[in-house]
Amino acid sequence: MASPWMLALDASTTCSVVVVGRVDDGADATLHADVEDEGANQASARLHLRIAAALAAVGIGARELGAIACGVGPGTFTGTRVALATAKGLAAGCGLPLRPCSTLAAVAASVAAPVDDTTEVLALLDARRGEVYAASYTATRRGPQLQLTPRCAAIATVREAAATATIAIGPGVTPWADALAGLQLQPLAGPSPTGLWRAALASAEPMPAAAVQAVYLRDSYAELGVNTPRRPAFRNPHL
Amino acid sequence: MNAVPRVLAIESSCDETAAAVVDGNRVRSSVVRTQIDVHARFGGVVPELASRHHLGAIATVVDEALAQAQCSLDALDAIAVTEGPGLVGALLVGVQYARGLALACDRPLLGVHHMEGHLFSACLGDDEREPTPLAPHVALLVSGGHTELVAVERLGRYTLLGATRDDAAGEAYDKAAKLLGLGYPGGPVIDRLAREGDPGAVALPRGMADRDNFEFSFSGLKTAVLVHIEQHGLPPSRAALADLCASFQAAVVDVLVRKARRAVRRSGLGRLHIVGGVAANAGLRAAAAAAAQQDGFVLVVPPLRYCGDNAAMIGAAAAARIEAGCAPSVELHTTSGLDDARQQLP
Repeated sequence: MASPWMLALDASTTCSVVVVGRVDDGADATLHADVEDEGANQASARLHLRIAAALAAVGIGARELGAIACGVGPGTFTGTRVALATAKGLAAGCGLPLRPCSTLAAVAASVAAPVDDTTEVLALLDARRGEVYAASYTATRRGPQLQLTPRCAAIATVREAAATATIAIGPGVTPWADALAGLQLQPLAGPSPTGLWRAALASAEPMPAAAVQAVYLRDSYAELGVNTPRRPAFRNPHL
Repeated sequence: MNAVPRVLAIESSCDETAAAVVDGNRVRSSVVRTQIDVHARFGGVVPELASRHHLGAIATVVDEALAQAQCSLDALDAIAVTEGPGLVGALLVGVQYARGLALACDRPLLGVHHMEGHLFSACLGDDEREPTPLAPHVALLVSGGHTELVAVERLGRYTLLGATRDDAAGEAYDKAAKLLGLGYPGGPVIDRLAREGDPGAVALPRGMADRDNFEFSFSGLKTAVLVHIEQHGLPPSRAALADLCASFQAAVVDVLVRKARRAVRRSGLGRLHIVGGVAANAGLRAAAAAAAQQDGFVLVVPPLRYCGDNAAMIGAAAAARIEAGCAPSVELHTTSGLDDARQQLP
C-alpha cells in the first residue's frame, strides 16, 4: 500500500514553504509546515535541512514518503530552481515521481476563507519590468480550479482578461494596488502552507522528475535582447 | 562501505551538466550534456540560460550515469557535487539536486572544489587507461576561467605558484574567436585553424613571458588581435585567417609552456600535469610534449574526454577526500582559489 505522506515545497516567492501531511486527510489535513520569509534565493543553504526537520517532526524518513510535490513557478527564477532541483533529487532518491504544481495556484489557494466555489481569485506576483505573473482560479474545496491560464503581462491586460475575478491575492497585490480598484485585496508574501497543500493535492498527475520543467513565463534577458552585446556575434565567411 | 569509495558525482559549474560514478580514480560511467549549442548564438555562456538547461537536464544525466555504471543508489558510499567556483545559478542546480538526493538516500554529501577536481582528471582511469595515484607534480590549470601554476604535494597541499592577472587562457581564446567571428567556444576552432597557418605570420605579444615569475596576462594579446583587425580588417581569406589563428595560438602556448617549464625546473618535482579545458588544445599538448622530452620531465595530460568539465574528476577528488577522512560538507562559493580546498582537509 502506498504511503499516505506527501511533502510539498515552493520557493518561487520571497517566502519559501515546506509542508508535510497525509493525503488521505485531504484538503483539511493537519500539516507540519515551515515557512521562511527571508528571500527564496537565500533558501538554498537551509531548504534540505528544513525538509529533513519537517520529516523528522512527523516521524518519517524521506523514503517513507508516498508523494512529493513542488511549486514550479512562475516567480523568482533562482528560487524556483532551488526548490525544483531539490525536489528532483529527493524524488530520484525516493524512487518517486514528482507532482508539479503552479506557484500561482498555491497563492490562489491561500485565499482567506470563506469563499464559495464560484469566487474567482486572481493570483498575482510582481514580475518587475512593468509586468505581473498572473492566473485566476476558483478556490474550491477540491483545490484551485484554473480559470485564466498563467501569463506574464501588464496589469491592465490581466485585469481585462480576468474581468470576473473578485479577489486579488499574492505578493503582486501591494505593488499593483492602484491598478486593482474594485477587487478585494489580499496581499501575501507567498503561498500559505494550506494553499500549497491544496494546490499540490489538485496538481497534475505525478510524472517522472526528469519531465518536470520550471515555468518561467519570461525568456532570459539575453533572449529578450535586453543585454545587447557590444560586439554582436557574427560568423566568419572563411570558416 | 566499498574497499574503494564508490561515489556518484555531479558537476554543473558552467555550461556542462555532468554526472559520473567512480570507484576512487576508476571511472565506471561519465555522462556530460553540453550546452554549447544553447550559448553559441550569444558568443558566450549566458548564466540564466545555463541554469535553466542544467535544471532540465540534471535528472536525466544522473539517471544515465547510474545506468551506465550498472549501479543502484544503495550501492553508493557517497555523493559529491561541485560546490564552486562557477556560475552561482548553475552551481545551485547541481548542489540542490545533490542535497535532495543525499537526503533521500541517507548518504554523505561532499562538496568538491572544481579546480581540485581538474587536478584529479589526470589520474582518472577507465576501460582504456589505468588510473594513477595523485603524485607530487606541478599542475598547469588552464581553462576558460582559470590559468594557474600550482605545486601539488599531495591531496590538499597545494601551493599557488602564479596565476593570470587578467583573462584566463581559455577566455582569451573565446574573446579572440568572437572578434574573428569563429563562434563559441573559441579554443577548438582556433586550434584547428592554427594547424593550417604560419605561427610567425603576425607579431603578437607574449604577456609577461620574460618576467621571472609564474604569472600570466592574456588581455593584451586579445587587444592586439583587436588592433590588428582594426588596422588590417578581418582576414580576407582562409589562409590569412589561419595565419592569424596560428600566431595567436603560438603566443598563448609559448608563454604557457615557457612558464610551466620554469615551474617544473624550480620546484624540483620533475612532473607536469596539464589539466582543464585548454589541455585539449593540440598545439599546447604538442609543445608541452616537446618540452618534456627536451627537459626530461614527466608530462601527464588527461585524455580529451576528461579535459573539459566532467563529473568523474569531481568524484575522484571526493573519493580521495573520503579516504583522507574528510567530513562531508557543502559550501557554495562562486569564486575561490585552491587555498579553500586545502583548508577543508582534516
